[in-house]
Formats: sequence, C-alpha cells, structure tokens
Amino acid sequence: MSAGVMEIQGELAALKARLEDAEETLEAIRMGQVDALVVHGPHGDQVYTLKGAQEPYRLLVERMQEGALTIAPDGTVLYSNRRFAELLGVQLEALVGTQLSVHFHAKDKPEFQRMLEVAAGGPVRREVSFVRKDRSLFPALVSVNALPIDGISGLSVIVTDITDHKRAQEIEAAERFTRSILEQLTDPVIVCDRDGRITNLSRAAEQLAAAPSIGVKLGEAFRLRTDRADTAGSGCSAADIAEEIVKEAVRGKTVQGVEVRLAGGTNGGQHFLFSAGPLLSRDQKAIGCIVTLTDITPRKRFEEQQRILLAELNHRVKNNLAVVYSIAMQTLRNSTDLASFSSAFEGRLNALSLAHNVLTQSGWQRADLKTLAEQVLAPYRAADDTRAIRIDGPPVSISPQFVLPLSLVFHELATNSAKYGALSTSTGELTVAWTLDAGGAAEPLLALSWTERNGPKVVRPERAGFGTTLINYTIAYELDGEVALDYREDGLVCALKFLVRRADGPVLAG
Amino acid sequence: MSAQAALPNEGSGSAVYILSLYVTGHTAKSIRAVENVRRLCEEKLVGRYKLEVIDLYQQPELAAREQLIAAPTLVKSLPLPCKRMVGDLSNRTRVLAGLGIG
Repeated sequence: MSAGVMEIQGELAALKARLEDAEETLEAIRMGQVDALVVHGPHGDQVYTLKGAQEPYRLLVERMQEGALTIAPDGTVLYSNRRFAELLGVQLEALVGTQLSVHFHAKDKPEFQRMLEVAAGGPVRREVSFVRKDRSLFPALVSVNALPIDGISGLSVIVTDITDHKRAQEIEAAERFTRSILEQLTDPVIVCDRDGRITNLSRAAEQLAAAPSIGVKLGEAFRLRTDRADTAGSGCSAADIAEEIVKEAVRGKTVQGVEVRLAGGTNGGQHFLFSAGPLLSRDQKAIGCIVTLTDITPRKRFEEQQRILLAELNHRVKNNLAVVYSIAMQTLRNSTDLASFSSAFEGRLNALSLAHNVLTQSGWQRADLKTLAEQVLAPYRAADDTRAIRIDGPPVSISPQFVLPLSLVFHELATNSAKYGALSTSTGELTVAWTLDAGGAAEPLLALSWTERNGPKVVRPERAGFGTTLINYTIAYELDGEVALDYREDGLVCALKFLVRRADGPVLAG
Repeated sequence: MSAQAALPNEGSGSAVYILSLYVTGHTAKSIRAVENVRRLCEEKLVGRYKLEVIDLYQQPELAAREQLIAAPTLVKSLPLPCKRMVGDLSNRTRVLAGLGIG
C-alpha cells in the first residue's frame, strides 16, 4: 500500500471518529442528556444553561437560611428569596419593587446608602438592624456585592439574621459579668442545677469546699451539719439539708437563714446561715438555685461566750452573796463590839470589791496574780517606802473562780500583818513571792509564800481567829490546795500551794 | 468546582486512565455525571485512574481548548485513542464501551 493511500485512510479514520463524537453529542443533546451548551462568540466561549438546569440554583437560593436579594444600584428590590420576606414578616409579592432601605432601622439607613455607593468597588459588609412588619427589630449582617447581569449593573445582598448570635454574645457577656461578681463576693455563693449539682461558685466558696466541686452535689462538696432536729429527732446530715433546700428553691421557694456548721477540713467548725433561692431562666422557670452561705462564726462565738458569762455571773452572784453572808456571820461572831465588826467587815468587803475590780479589768477572763496582789496590798504601802512590800514571781494568769478567794486570803494576811505583824511597824518588810512548777502539766503547781520580817516579835495565837479559819478554809476548799502557817519570831510565814487550772487559757501570762 | 483526583497506581502495570469531566456548576446532569463516573472508576479502575472535574462556569476558556459544545462531557485522554462522551453518563454500558473497559 502506497504512503498516499495510508495517509488518506488515516485521515478517514480520524474523520470517522470525529463524526461519531459529533453524532453522539447531537444525540445526547437531542435526548436531553446535557444541560449546558458552549457557544463560541466574539467575547470568547460562553456557557448557556438549558431550560431547567437552573433549578438547583433556584432551590439553593430559595432554601438558604439567609435572605438573598438582587437590588438595583438605587436600592430597589429586583428579586428576593422567600426567606428574607419571612425574616421581615411580609409577603414576598409586596417586597419586590420596593426600596430595601425602608426596611432598615432609621439609624442604619444612611449607612445602607453608603454601602450602595461603595459596593460597586468591592464587597461590603455591615451589622445593621431591620424593622419587621410588627415593628420589632432584628439584628442582621448585611453583605452587598456587585452583580453584573447581562450588562446591567445590579447588586447582590445577603442578609444573615444574627439574633441568636447576639443573644449568645449577650449570654456570654452576662456570664462574664456574673463570674466577675461571683469572684468578688466575700461570702461563699454557690450556683446549682435542678439536681443540686454545682455549676458555678464564688472564690470564697471554692476555698470552703473540700475538693474541686463543679459537677458535684452540694451536700457532698460541702460537709454541712445542722443542730435542727429532723422528724426522727436526730440532727440532719449535709446531704439531707442540701437536698431539701435545693428542692425547695427549685420549686421556686426562697429558703432563708438555716443555721449550719461546716464539718471537718481546715474550715471545720465554722458557722453559716444557709440561704437559697431559685435560679430563673428567661421564661421565669426555675432551672436551679443560688445558695448563699453567710459566715456567722464570730456571732456564734460571741453568743456562746455570752451564755457562759451569764451562767458564770449567776453562779458568782450567788456565791458572793453566800461569801458575804458567811463573812458577816463570822465577823460578827469574832467581834466584841459594833465598831470592831464594822471595821473588819468593811475591810473584807473591800477586799472582795478589789478582787472584782481586777476581774472587771480582765473582762471576767483570767486575771494576773501580781496585779491582784498589788491591788489588795496597795493600801498598806507606805508612800515613802516602796521597798517594805515586795511582790515577786513569774507572770501567772489565774482563772476567775480563784480570784475572789485569793484576794480574801491576801486581805486577811495583810490585815493581820497590819495589826500584829511586819506591816504594823515602819521597819517591817513583807515579801509575797511565788514559783510555778509548769513542767508541761495541765495543772501546774503554784507555790506562794507570804514572808514577813523585821516586825514585832511574833507570838503564836492561842486560838485560831476568823482570819486564820478563812485562810485555811479558802485554800483547802475553794482552791483545793494546802496552807502552812509558820509563826516565826521575826515574822509570819504563810506557804500556799495549789494547782492552777489551764482550762480557760494559758497559765503563764505575757 | 475543585478537581477531584485519585493518583494512579504506577506499579500495577495496567493501563492508567486520565479522565476529565467538564460540568456546569451543580446542575442536575452535572451532579449525576460526577456521581456516575466516580462510581464507575472506583469499581473498575481503582488505583489506576486520575479524574479531574472542571466547572465550565468557573473556567469557560477550557471549553475552547477541548472544543466542547455541550456539558457534561467526559474526555478520556489516556489510554489512546482519545474519546469523549456527552451526557450524564447514566448509560453504564455505553460509558464502559467508550472507555474501552470490557
């Protein structure tokens, strides 16, 4: 076969293939299997969509959740999808042909005009407010872009309703605001859901909780106890109280001022007023509760102290009356006439009064032994000789119930000394000294010596007077201690020993 | 519309198919054509085909290069001979024959 014939046969095969392609294409067009044709024109190839092929686009635009419009450069609506009409609450038919700007909030109309002016140069987007048919507003994000249609200049507008977005922003801002308030609150505040699980809490509450408590039930996070008796007569547990109060609050009831105390942990023993109220949603439904714990520990301590003090006062008044009665009787028995009774009785009452002064100064708490001795012996000090009476010993704080008996003992010893002993002369000396055998014991031993010197020669009395009886009785029964009286020739020595109770606080002062 | 492609399996030794599908956006027949050709390629040419889908709305100049007159059109560049098929490619027998797959 010649080359010429082969070339002709090749061209023929190529033409045959092209003819088949062309026939297939025409057949496909005729059978409706294509939806676009490419037409070669003076401006290059253009794709022409066949009838029906635009349907997907139309559906896309119609069913999108954004409003989609085509507007003329002056803002006239040429086309709107149904969604935008729904957003405005108007009939679609009433929308086309109107000015889009009439649906803008008045404050945004000038901005929309500016958008129309600049959109030809490129897309522009703004947040604006639209007015619905019912005059309510909705915030929207509006995008405007140039849209050339067959040589006619138009603009495409996409309107996105951002009500939910705005609401989310508002909720977020409110959350931040609430959180900042919670953090600043000095009282513990706890927010719970309907099941009593903690969703939020103030910093003060976080510090009270035993462990991280978000998502934990209120009663488990805070080990609360109350002294209030339940129906079974026993104290309510934490879970009971929390459960009960949360239920009440979620029902919409406000619970105020249940006294609770915190058990265990570093904050154990603290007292609180437990109050709770419903946490309401936008539609006023209780979706949880807000619990406030008000620290009333100082108040409770004060109340307890007051209760103890009142009991103590009651006890003391009765005791004092008994002591006064006893002193009066004994003094009367040992007095020869009214004048001596009056003098002795007055001195003893005065000693009691001084003791009360010392107690009052210490607020009816513990009193300093040295102060007590100084007060009782002050009247016996010579103005020009302070060395005649020496009071020496380590600081010791003694409990209120020891103050009155000790002051009476000091008074009796001082009166006796002023009458017959060292304090009756200008040369006499008195030393009141004590030591404290602390040794870590709960009740250390106090050894106190009353030592007189350089006074008149001492003669042991034939019989014990009231003073001696009072000293012996007081030390033995009131102080539960021992007393030893030594009538030395150069001066009386009285040795007292008794245990000092630590119960109300430290024995060693200062 | 972005080109969709699966790299050919060069080590298989079988013929590698280079296919171009020209569509017009997401018109019904274009969508059907994309679905049909992908399904067929995954069934018959797995691992040895490269398919690119070209949107003529986005690149109308490519229509001239391929001398297209309708869409959708599938063009088989390899293996030779070159072959083009017009329509939504729903006639499976014709498409297989056009691609030379028995």
